[in-house]
Amino acid sequence: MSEKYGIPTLAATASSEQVYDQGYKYLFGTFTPNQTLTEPLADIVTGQNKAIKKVAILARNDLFPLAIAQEMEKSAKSRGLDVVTFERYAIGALDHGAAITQMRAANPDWVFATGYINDLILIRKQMNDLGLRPQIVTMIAGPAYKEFVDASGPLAENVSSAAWWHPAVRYNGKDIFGSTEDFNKLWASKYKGEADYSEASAAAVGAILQLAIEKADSIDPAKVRDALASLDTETFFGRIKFGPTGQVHSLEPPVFQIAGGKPVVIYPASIKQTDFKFIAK
Amino acid sequence: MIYLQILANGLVLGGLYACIAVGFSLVWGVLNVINILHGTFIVLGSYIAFFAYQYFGIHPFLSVGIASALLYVVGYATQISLVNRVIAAPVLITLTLTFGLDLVLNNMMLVAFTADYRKINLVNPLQSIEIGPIFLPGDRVAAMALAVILTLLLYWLLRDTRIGRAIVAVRMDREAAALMGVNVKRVNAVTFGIGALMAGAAGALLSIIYPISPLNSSLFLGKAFVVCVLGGLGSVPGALIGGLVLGIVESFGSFWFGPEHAVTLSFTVLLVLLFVRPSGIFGRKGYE
Repeated sequence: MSEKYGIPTLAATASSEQVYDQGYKYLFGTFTPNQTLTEPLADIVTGQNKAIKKVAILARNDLFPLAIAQEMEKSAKSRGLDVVTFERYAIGALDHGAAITQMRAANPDWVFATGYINDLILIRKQMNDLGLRPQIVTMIAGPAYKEFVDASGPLAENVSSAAWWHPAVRYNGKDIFGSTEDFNKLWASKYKGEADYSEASAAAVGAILQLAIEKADSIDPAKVRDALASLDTETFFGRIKFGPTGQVHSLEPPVFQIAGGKPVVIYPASIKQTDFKFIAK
Repeated sequence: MIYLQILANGLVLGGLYACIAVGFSLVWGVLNVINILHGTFIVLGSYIAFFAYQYFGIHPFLSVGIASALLYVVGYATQISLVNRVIAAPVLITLTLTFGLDLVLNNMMLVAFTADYRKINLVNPLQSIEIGPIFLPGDRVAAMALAVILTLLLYWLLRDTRIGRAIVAVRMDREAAALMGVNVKRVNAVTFGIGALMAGAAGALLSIIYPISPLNSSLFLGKAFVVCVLGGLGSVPGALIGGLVLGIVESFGSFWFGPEHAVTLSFTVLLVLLFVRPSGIFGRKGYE
């Protein structure tokens, strides 16, 4: 519809490159490609302990969860890790017993599971119930949300994840929010608590659209589109510069881990809050 | 040895599926009403258990009684005030009515509780039972055992009590039952109430296993459909066996063909059974 009518669309929560490689001119997105999450994760894990050799991947058979699992497979293999299982589960699955039993048989050091909050709460619980206790558990995209931590309780501890934004990042921007700290304060006063990465991204697209309109000095859709395409600016969400496909390439997504019931940043070094920890056996 | 673990997973999962389906099967078999509300009733039972634990510290297994009682009242009132008005209409009418009621109740829950996923984290969670290399999740086993007990109680109620015989009589021949002095209207309401009661009990049991959200209702309803058709409509043992068959098929199907094909496989089994034995494994006209 955007292409047909020549109206720019800003996608707040789309990271898979398959969304952007269709030749669209009017589509822009604020999430970097999936490998920008899996590459630092793989670096952190392999940098911690050379004894980590075997990775088991469990992915929801859905666009983003499957795409990021496939990127993880590439990131792991490129570092010499052995991907011992790669299972996909159906959307709406009410049981992961068989997949977890198979993973347990392969005795992985690292389990990487993808899906949404409900999937990952269930997977984390069934892993524990069925005796699958690897040294590292990484889950995307549940742990970024408070619901995951509340629902998983102690099982959330030391689960690692990555997202495109975190309240702990610190950016000063030219957008309406000014800085990450100011955005956090405004969010807390309006909605209580902290924004997650998707909420922050949704706010960012509004701010980015304003900057593009100001740059174009017009609300003509084609001029705003061109302004977006050439935009290179700082925002509370980070530096925004869209690549040739319309997907942002200028952000460095943080990697975090649940510690004491809260997500704490372990990468990048500039905003790191703690060191990476293994799951207690 | 891995096959024993897969079998154990399937049996425990099947027990939960039976628990989900038994009330749905009863209402469909006796009243000829496809109760689309059933999944939402299960979720409501889960919320009752969740809030009872969060605010009063009541263990979800004890909440089974509370959720059952409250859902029985809701089910009885829904039947007598709404469903009963169209009970003699073709099945599509009652299906549409319960579909509409489901939309209303589900959206009310979304407004009241939001779509956020919640889960009960017991202070003293049940540990897995380890028998050699086999792991049996304690909460699933306990929930399955309670579900089987409830199902057997329902079986006893239908076979050996006055109201149970009245329900069976209405199922077999509504007019003849009325001529024999059975208050069909009341029996219908009691049956719908028992269906909701079983859904409430299932919801309370599932609250320690699955994340709770109104969005789950369609998942539970889908499983209930398959189990009912597998086991045979209206048959309590059929729901139990149908649940176990579905659980085992899904478990081994996931293992052999990958988890993404488990649902396809279970529906294939369902289609084959519909060709070979359309009434289901235990399907028959009455309960005798």
